[in-house]
Amino acid sequence: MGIKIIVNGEVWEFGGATLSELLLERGLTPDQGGLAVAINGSIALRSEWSEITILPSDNVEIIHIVRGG
Amino acid sequence: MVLQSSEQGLFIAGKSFRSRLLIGTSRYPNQQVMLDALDASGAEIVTVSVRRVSLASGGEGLFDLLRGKVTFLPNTAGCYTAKDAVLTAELAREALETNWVKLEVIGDDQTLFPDVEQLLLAAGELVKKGFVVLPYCNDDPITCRKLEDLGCAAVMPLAAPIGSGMGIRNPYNLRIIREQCKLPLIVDAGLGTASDATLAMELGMDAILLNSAVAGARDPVKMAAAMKLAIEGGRLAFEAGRIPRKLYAMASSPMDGLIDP
Repeated sequence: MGIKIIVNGEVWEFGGATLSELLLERGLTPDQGGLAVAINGSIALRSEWSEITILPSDNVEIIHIVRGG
Repeated sequence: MVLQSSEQGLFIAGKSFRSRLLIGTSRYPNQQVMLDALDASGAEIVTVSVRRVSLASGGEGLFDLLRGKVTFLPNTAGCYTAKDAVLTAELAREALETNWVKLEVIGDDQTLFPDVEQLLLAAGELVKKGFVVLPYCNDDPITCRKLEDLGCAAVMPLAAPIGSGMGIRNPYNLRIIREQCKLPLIVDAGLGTASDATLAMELGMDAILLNSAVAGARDPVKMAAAMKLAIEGGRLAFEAGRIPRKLYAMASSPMDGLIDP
């Protein structure tokens, strides 16, 4: 039984502990480029992804780079 | 010596660029056309956006596709508040390892005109956080001056609404902005074709940022090449200095030695 968090605006049941594990659960590899994460409106530095613990009700935004003008 | 192109490059925040064209990556018919258009444009600075990763996509490959080939300029398109724009810029900085940002804070989804109040708030905050801020703004000399005073690295007044292809709706405002602003000036948004870009450069703008005019052309690659040449031509003409407009004719050929049969 995981914890309930919000990922990109939707409820997500997270079975792991760290942000790196969350990314893997979402099909992303933490070493892939062009990604960034904010938790509760604050940037999660890439160098700390494996140490950041996800807590119940955390609001996580995971972004990537897309086409733009 | 034959002058092939402008001797001076574009300088922004201590970095030098040969090309005076900044180009977007959106709305091309397909990825290969985009890559070919970017190549034909000669642009070194390329704009991108920041969006949520969907579960299905697993992360778009745009970053890997362009990494090392261009200077990324992430935008804050789609942000309506300073708060959202600042967080988007911070996410972009983390994702791209660049502190450059094309700051957009939109006030209305029909015109996509900037919300000046929120734009100024966001610009001030991002400058304080160490960003190189290039704000998309109205062609309003006062707004441009305020953005300059806040410490932005360049100012990017619009020519016309984003994607409208209307060309320069107010060349007189751009002239005033050019006279008053010491920062690099980049016309951002609204251009339709090559002559629009030339006119902007003849008005003394330092560079052009465009996307739709190239991506939406029947032949985007050809239009990218046209924009490159138009911008170089316009810049050279600006540096050369146009002749004054006169109401009456002045003969080009000598008037002495005419025959008198």
